[in-house]
Amino acid sequence: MILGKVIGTVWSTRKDENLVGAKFLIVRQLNLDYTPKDSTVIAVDSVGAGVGEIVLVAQGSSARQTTFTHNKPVDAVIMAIVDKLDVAIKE
Amino acid sequence: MYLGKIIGTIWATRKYEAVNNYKIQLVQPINSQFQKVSSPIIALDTIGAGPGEIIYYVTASEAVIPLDVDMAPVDASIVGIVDSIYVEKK
Repeated sequence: MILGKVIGTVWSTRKDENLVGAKFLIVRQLNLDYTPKDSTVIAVDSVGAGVGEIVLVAQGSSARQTTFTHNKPVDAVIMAIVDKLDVAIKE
Repeated sequence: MYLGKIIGTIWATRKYEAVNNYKIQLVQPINSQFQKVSSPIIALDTIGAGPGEIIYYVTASEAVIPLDVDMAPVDASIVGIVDSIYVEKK
């Protein structure tokens, strides 16, 4: 999973019919100290996340392992909202 | 499977309900000499490992197999704690 921050929402009327009802969020990948990385990903929301929240995103075929995304053309899904991140061993 | 060292923990109250019973750990991938390789990843803990421990983990959709649920949006799972490693010198 990757750590990221929800920075926006994507609306699209015309899309694959399997994706009707999905909420698409733009997630900016973060380092462990919450500084942003360059990469962003469009992910389907499965936990009710909102803009500004720190989330975990599962990628690849694992993203299809939810009841909503099963067998649908999805490669990134938000699977948790982070309360706290504790780095016990500093680099 | 890959080797890694647990370097921290992530708490999430709200997560996909199939994975509610599992802890989420931060893992630094390492090589057989215990040197860091690449950047830390986030993995689900299926065996009760803790920070500081050397573990191995599976990635991609195979990460769902060790869980006791049919489907879960998980792309990395810790599946074992390493006791020792022996690498023959070349």
